[in-house]
Amino acid sequence: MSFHKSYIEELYNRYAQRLYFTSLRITANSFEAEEVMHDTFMKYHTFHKKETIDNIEKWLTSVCIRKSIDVLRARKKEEIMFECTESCEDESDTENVKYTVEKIREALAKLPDGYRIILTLHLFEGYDYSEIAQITNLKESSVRSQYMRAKNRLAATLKEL
Amino acid sequence: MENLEQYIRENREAFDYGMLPEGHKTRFLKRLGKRKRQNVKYLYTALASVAAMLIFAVIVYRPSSDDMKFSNKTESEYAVLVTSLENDILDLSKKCDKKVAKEAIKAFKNIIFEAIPLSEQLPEELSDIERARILRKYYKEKTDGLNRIKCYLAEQSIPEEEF
Repeated sequence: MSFHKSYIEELYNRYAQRLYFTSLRITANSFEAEEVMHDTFMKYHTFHKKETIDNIEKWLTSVCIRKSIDVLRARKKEEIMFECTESCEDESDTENVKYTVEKIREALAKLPDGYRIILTLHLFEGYDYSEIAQITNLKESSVRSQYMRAKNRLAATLKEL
Repeated sequence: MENLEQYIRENREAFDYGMLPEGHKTRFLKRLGKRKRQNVKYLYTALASVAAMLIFAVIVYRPSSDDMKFSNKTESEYAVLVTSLENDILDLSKKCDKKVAKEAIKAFKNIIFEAIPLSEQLPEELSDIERARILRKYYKEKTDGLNRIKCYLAEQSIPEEEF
């Protein structure tokens, strides 16, 4: 099998999980996350300037993130709610909370879309505030305050689980 | 909250690990298969249009005699170009799926095949300039077809670093 496996299948085997869970963190929907993952690989497959890609994993992840956010926008049919009236101060008390990957995934899925996007991009994908601002069309200062609110909400949700 | 951020940083890889939906790869391969069949259709369409142009060229510019000086130059230029394209196509085909490579090489051979060179089929009455023009146009269509095959193979090929 490995002798005849096409290149795109090799890529799929290598990066499918990474892309699927990246998209799932943003879309919180298994079906849509799979669609986005497949769309991402197909985009690479049909991309005419592959020689310009320095880092395939980074390229795929970046495409996957943008497609996931587009899915949320299309689903909502209006702008994703980013602004909120919750407090920015860190009011969470998470000292006694036992973290697991599954619990954090579950808590993330319960968050509003806007919070989930910002948390995913900063906490999981390592984007800085200015990069997130470009992607979300928010001001950098708004991204910072949204991130604080999102963290508080995540912590509160984890406590409830 | 810092504990949570620290936990995520320390266990980052675990968040990209887990069960994917059942049948995910089958669905992807099916989608990929549809795309490949489309590509082969495009290749056949491209080949059919090149073949139609060649047939048109042969019918319209009926065979006859030749001015050796002009036709030899055009044909020799064409021969050099074909050799270069042949090498490129063979190199690229080694990096592609076997079926795609086989079809592309078959198409290449169909294009370059000439039972009787056109230069020997052109009418004697034609002027040198007209003869040269016809031959250039004829061989340009062939090389355009060969270049299309080369581009198609380049799109389908697997980058060397990934072997």
